[in-house]
Amino acid sequence: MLRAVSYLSILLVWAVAARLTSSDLLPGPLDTLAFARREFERGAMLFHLWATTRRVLIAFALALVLGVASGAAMGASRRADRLLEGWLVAGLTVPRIILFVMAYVLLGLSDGAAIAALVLTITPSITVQVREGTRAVDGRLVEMAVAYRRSRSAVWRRVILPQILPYVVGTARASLSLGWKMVVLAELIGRTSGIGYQISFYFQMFNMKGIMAYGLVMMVVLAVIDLGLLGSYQHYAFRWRGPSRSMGWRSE
Amino acid sequence: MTDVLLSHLSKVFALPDGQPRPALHDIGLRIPAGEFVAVLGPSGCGKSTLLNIVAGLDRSYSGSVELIGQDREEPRVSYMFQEPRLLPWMSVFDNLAFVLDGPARGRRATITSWLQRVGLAGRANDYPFQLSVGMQQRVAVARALMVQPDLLLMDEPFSSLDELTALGMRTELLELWKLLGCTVILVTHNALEAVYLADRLLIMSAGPGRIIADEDLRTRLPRPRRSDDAKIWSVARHAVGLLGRGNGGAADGTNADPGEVGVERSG
Repeated sequence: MLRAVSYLSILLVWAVAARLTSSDLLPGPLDTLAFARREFERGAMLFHLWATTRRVLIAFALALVLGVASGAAMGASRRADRLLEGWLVAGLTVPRIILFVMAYVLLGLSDGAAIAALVLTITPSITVQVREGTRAVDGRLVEMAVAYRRSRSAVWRRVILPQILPYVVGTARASLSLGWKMVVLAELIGRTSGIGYQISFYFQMFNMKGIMAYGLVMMVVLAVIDLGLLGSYQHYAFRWRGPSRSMGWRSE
Repeated sequence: MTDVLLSHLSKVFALPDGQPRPALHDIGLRIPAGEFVAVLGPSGCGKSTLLNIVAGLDRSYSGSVELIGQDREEPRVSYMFQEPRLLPWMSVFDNLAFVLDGPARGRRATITSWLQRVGLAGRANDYPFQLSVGMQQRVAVARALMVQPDLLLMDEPFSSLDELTALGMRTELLELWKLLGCTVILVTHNALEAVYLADRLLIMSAGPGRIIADEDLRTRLPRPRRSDDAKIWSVARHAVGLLGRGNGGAADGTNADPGEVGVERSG
């Protein structure tokens, strides 16, 4: 109920603001939705949405592999930690926009360049989280498994990975949403397809409806993927944790 | 069943500043198959280190450790820790299945019957967080015994339980041990527990850990024993006396409480 109020109040503020300003500068929710529907009907919306989603998913998958591998290595070995620390700090501090500009300059205005820059944008935060997760692995449980003569692979699969997984899923949600926002930037400056490209296109046409329609669809898709899919998976996968005890101090 | 043979076993830890700290010194010990041995000593005397070495968890030591299997080439070892150490993301059933080998149907039957035996029938699908610590420790008992170990290692397994629960579980443990007949090494700082359970009592002193007394209890305390038997109290008091003498005399045997060996080392 309170949730519904929360979402509806956004629409309400938006509608009132649109009414107060001229509707060309700030179109209301209904106008925006109608425009989005037209874009769907003529096929443009799905085409560009897919172009964007594809880039994010490829970059996300690559970043997840790189981030988990480097994070686990840094968490498990002090030498790997020291060796990779400089790269990690550089990756965390470099302004994202520079990565995209440099990728386009070095690799050309291509999908490959956009994806490479996205991977570099996302990976460091995954690395940090997985490193923390690996450091937090409970050695006493590993000892138990070794004492009962479980194989090395059983210890990794069934004792160590389940302890790292919560960190991976948590960071995956955050990185997916980061990638989803950065990809628009990448498309805006250097691609000829995707939501970011459409936004820059409508910006040049001074068409606010177009800009807002594409923005709105991005928000809805991200919310569905993040809250709907990953959120429920997280909830299902970690049902063994039981009710959280840290919530006691919060008021209802 | 398995014989345990330790000879000239020593272990030195390296402190963070690089200084060596001897933990065990020249321990020689022969435990015949089927014997229940209790190792009694103050905190920090190397009891747990000794157990970890026998379990194969710690491989940096000098001297030799031999487990000589009577029925099997590679003796089966079980380890009960101070805490239950269940995998929190697995149900009780999966926790037990994790340490069992063999076909699924046989494993299911074994697990069901052992859960019954430790009084947890019907809790197979619960997660550890849904059980009390006492129940979790009973799952750990089932896990340790269900694999039909040749050698059972126990590191103060009942110290995190309240005394009433601990009392019940010690009695249960003795019954299950009679059933399996495995060799047992129990490490504890509770003299009453050691004397009530064991065939043979080893007393350790600290800094570095070594064995200062080795007493056979079987003639003085024939089985079955009762935990509230006055003889158990007097033998336990005697043990605390030995312990006190070997550890700087902080406790003397006459008025110490044998249930709580508070032998704090003075040096």
